[in-house]
Amino acid sequence: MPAPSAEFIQLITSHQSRLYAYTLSLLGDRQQAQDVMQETNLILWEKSDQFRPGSNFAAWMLKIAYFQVMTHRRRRRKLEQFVFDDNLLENLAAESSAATDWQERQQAALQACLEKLPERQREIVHRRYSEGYSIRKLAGQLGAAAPAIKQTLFRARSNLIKCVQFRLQEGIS
Amino acid sequence: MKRTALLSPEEADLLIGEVIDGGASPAQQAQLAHLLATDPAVRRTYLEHCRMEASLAWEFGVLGGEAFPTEPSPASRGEARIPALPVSWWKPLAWAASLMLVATTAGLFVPNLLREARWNAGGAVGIVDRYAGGSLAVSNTSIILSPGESLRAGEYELSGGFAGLTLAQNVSLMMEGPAHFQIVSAGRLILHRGKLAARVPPEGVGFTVETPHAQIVDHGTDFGVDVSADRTSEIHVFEGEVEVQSLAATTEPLRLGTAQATRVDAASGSLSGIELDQERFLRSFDEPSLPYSRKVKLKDPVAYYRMAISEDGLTLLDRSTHSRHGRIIRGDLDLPPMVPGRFGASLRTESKNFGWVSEGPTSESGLLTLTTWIYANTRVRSATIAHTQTPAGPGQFRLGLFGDQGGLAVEVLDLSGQVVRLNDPSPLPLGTWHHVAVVADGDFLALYRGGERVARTACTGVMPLTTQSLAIGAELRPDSAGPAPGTSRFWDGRIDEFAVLNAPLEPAEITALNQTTPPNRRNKK
Repeated sequence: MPAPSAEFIQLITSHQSRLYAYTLSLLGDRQQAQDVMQETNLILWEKSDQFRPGSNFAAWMLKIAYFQVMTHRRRRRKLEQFVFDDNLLENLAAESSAATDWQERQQAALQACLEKLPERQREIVHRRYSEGYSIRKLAGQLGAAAPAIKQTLFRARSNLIKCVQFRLQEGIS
Repeated sequence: MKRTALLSPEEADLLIGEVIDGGASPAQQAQLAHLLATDPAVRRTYLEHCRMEASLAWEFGVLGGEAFPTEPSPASRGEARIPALPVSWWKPLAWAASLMLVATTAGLFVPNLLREARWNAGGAVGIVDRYAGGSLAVSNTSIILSPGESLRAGEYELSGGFAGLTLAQNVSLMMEGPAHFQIVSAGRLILHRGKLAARVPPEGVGFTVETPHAQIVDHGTDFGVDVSADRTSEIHVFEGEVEVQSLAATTEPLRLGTAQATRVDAASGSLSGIELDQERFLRSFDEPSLPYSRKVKLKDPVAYYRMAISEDGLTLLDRSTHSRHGRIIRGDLDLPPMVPGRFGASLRTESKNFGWVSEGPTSESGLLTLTTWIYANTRVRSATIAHTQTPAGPGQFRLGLFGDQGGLAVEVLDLSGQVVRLNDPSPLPLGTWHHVAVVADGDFLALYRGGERVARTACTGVMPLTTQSLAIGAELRPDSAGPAPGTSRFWDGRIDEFAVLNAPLEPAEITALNQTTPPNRRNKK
């Protein structure tokens, strides 16, 4: 198997966030989403010579990811019941795929928006994502109930979504 | 299921949050599935939050094989943090490699290459200034940074020695390895393990260091942070002020001012005031130019080991005009051999580190002065400060402690080839720096400690030799090729500013050397 080109590696790298968003939305479980994401990465790597430069990498990647999600569900069906049925999965996959290439622009906007978060929300986001603290641990550290931490995280993400959308619409990054 | 249709938007939001954050029950998941299937607005919100979750995970570097925050399993509850899950990368890779028996090597490089590409894609937040021993690598990649290269957001491992870094806003950091740290941004660094000394100019105020259990916000200062293997943190402020907030406790932040220090307990997160320890942090690569060193150099020493940090971390640099450089022989501890000294750095001789100069300095005139600063943790029996040896027999001098009595002791080989011995009747006080000098002026051999003469005896001078080996902090073997086998005579402490002169110093000159004080010392003699 020939080693993928630097351009191909760059394409995979720049689509990691989108790939994870896709698998998370279809599986609704962070760990399973990460596992499928990694399996997809491996297949992308193995099939790198099949990718035609200039064609739609995101579409190709998400097609492989969708297949991997279905394989994952089949493998695990004996262990657990998935609450997302096949129809819902198709709808989510279609809507999730419809987003245009957004990672680089979204990340640039996100950096600016993080700075604008209220201090409490920014702190919790930092600790959650940068430090890897669990909700339970965050609650203990901050002397708050776990539901309150979850609510703050949700609000922080909502604020970030609005801020990023605004900046992208206004052409600010 | 009917109830789901009655959920308010806020309740629907909470459900999305539960699923995204990983705490949803099966019933909640079913509720959300129903809403997603029936309500396009909820579906849109859900997808937006999935995208934001992914963007945040990417932004903070928890995609691409890094740790990912999840709820702890029952077995791991009580841990401060969720451990990294590299298995999520390696599991499918290993599976594929064994199954297909092809492309194994290429496949295993996938995560590293992605991490490298991810790191390279980040903007520069600082620069690597210089190194002394060890290497600085981007964690879990093959990227090893050289002086002059950019620092980007990411995790780093310093294998040992020291690394000088400058972040934006001119924040200077001296990292001591082994260290594991993460640069989040130009203004924020997480120290998982190891030591750093930070110098923050006014434009860098607000620079933040996080440790496993505390957050330190700078208010314009010089400070040091030490995270030990048991994850206990210590914060020492040399000058200025910092704010320390325990991450585990909900108490008010602690303001630490000049010459104050605190320890953050790993188990409870509680803060305890401790004494500032100037000896803990090395804060500069360069030996300061001071009256002390100028006075020594004016005497044209035969050798002058200032114990400066060398580029490779293992060269014992001779700052005299003779350049009799030696080597530092590493002992048992995986710690840098240089530590804070009386002036700048010193040689850490604890744990069997020692300096060795195979073609060491000699006095060819028969006159001799040894001058040095020493610091002892314990009085090891007959411990050695400096020892010379030739293949044919003893060298010109040996300086150390006298047996179990623990006073300073010196031996020189006089002009007739006899060994002349002298010792201080008082045991050497521990835990502080002492200036020590030995003078053979042709009539007497004199021993000085703290600028005072503590012993003297008649001595015709030292036998001129053309070559001899020198060990600093250890006793040499009779063949002079290394430390004596099975010796227990290593110096347990630090040795600094070791100089050999071809002429006797006057008592007043020794007093002057002893009285030269280092700058910015606030708590130590």
